[in-house]
Amino acid sequence: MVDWRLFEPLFEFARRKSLWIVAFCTGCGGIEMPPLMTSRYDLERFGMMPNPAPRMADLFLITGYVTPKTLKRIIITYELQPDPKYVMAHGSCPLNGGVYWDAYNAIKHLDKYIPVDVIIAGCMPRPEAVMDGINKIMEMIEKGTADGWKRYKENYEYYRKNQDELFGEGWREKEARRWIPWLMDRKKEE
Amino acid sequence: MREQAIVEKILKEAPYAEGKVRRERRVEFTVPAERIKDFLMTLKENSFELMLQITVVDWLKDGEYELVYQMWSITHRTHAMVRTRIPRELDKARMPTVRDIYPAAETYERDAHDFFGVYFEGNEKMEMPWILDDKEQGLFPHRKDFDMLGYVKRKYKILDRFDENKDNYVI
Amino acid sequence: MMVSQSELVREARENGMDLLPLDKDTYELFFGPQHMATENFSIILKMDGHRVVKAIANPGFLHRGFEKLAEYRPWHTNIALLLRICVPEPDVPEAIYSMATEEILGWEIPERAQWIRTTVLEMARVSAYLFWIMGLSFKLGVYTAGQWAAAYRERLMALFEQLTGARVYHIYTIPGGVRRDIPNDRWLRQLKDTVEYIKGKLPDFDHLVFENYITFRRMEGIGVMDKKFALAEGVTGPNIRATGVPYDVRRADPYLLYPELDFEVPVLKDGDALARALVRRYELEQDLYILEQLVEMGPPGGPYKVEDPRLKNLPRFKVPAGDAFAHVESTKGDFGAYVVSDGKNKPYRVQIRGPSIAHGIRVLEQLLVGARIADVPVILMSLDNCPPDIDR
Repeated sequence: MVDWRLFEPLFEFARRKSLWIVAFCTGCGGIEMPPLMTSRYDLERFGMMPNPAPRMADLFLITGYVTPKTLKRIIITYELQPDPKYVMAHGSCPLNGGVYWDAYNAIKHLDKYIPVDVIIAGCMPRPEAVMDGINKIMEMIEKGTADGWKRYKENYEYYRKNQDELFGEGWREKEARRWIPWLMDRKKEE
Repeated sequence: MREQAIVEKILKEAPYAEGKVRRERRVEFTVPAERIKDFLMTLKENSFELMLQITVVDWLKDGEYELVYQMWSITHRTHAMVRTRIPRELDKARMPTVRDIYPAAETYERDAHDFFGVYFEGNEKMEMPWILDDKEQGLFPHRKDFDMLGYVKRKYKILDRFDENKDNYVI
Repeated sequence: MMVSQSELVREARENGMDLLPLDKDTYELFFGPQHMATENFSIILKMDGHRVVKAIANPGFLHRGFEKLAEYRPWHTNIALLLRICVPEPDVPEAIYSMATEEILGWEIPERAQWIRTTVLEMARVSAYLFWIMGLSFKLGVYTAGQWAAAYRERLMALFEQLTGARVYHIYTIPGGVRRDIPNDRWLRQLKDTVEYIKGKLPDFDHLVFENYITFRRMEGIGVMDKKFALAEGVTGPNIRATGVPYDVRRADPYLLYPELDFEVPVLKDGDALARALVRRYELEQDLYILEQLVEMGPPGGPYKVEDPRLKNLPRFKVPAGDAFAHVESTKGDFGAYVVSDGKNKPYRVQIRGPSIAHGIRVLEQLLVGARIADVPVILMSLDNCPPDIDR
């Protein structure tokens, strides 16, 4: 039996060099992703690329403010990702609300609901700032300090409690069935 | 004047309404709420083809909602505001739908229902989920008596950023 | 350890995870928000094989309640808030809000400010069209053209940065003029060079995207709407011009310097996805032509904002009671703002009319019926749906 933990530094090195991003524009920061991905800032030289499927992705970029309706999808997408997974929040809004500090429909502290590894401040952060954040998360991966996915497992009750407080119990099931009556071509009695 | 001629022609066909010219390419009508369908029919016959938006303004002091139907005529190159007033109590704030005249109005009516609680009778999609998710019963965020700071404190459980004694804050 | 199919189905059903077949042959498919083609916008599709039977648009992922927030902030602070409504061209919400406020105040803005505003709006239009070309070519699989469009857009971003200090959110147009002057003559020369450069690159886009046989076959005859339908649904912008209605706010309700400028309003008659794409391509050319004229005209002298003692103390800046509607032509369509003031230092009500609320909900739902699943992103992209201005 091989103890795979011996090879962990090698794995961390490999993970650092091939971060795939979930393609999920959750807010206005999404407009800076195409310049980052294309020829001017060219993130692909770091081995990063956007990927449509969360099952194959390592890095989740929360690009901008988060509304409760999006947060449900963010949590589901985050839980679909395989371990190890890293979250980078983009801009002031997921950090503390930003300009939406008194808005009735924007999440104020994202790290109450899912663990966040790196937060880039600014509205909106320049592509250079995003690249700096990515550099930071690569360093953290190599040192093994980007442990948000471990924290999510260890403190699952805490995160689950906050999520349920915001959305109400059983929101996942409710969300999955919400549109069926409207697709059925029948009235809502069903 | 071109705008004056349009207003006079429409007022002749709809004597229950009031109208005036605001400025070049802007006219304005005021109609009673129960005649809105007839009036919009008249406007459509007078080639006001596009409905741009239905705006609800909450006049808290008067106890009334003002509904402004923003219309645009491609032929006359003129913008028309059709104003009407209804009571702002939630059980009385009811309007007939105009989606059979302007189908685009269906979306705007859903919008007005979601944020202000105006019920448009005859619109089948009134109960369909729209922008707001998991609404609390009877809570319409764009009404003037909606306490936004209190709601934010309660919903997101943050207390540290607000000054309790300062009710009128300037950023 | 092998698990049989029926056992998996039973386990999924026990955990409430099965797909719930709707009728005999149809199933439910969630398209977005986690999807490359939709920018945080969701469509719920009822599918029969690979054909769409029914579609329901589900907006609201980007709703932040701007119209409510604007009632809590002073007049000038709202500029920094409302521009976030339209992310690809944030100058449009700034401009309409400023124009409506100026109409209530009865202000006539100086000529230099008008020139700067027109230039900024046209630059925003060009950059939004380049962004749209990038999106369309990524959806069609023509990745080279997308890379080019993103790279040329960066040139305009650099110009914006020199003029306003920010890449994306400029916070530049304010009620009464603009926030600061043109930096120097070098900026004008750079603008001229950029316009020439992008104009020289248009044939490349034509070869790769707009004259490409594959693109034609991919977009021809899908998502067709006719003139009557488009008018009834309140569609504006390039989408209605692709059905044969020559409606352009810049011509129909002229604002700023547009009455003095020479440009064409391209109109096509087919009303399908291809016609919409081609109309946008012609408009990009016209916008570059307008920018050329503006550079040739040169900025007139004089102040760049209204000189008014009230502008010295912005938090106490008050606007007399009244209301006004202003609209401009954005790349998505007719973008309007209705502003009501009751004489305080904050607006009483601000309503923004995004063009996508007309063509992104009901029109999309009806155009998608009968389309193949592979055509859904193309129809969505050809309508140029912008979710933030539906949600506001």
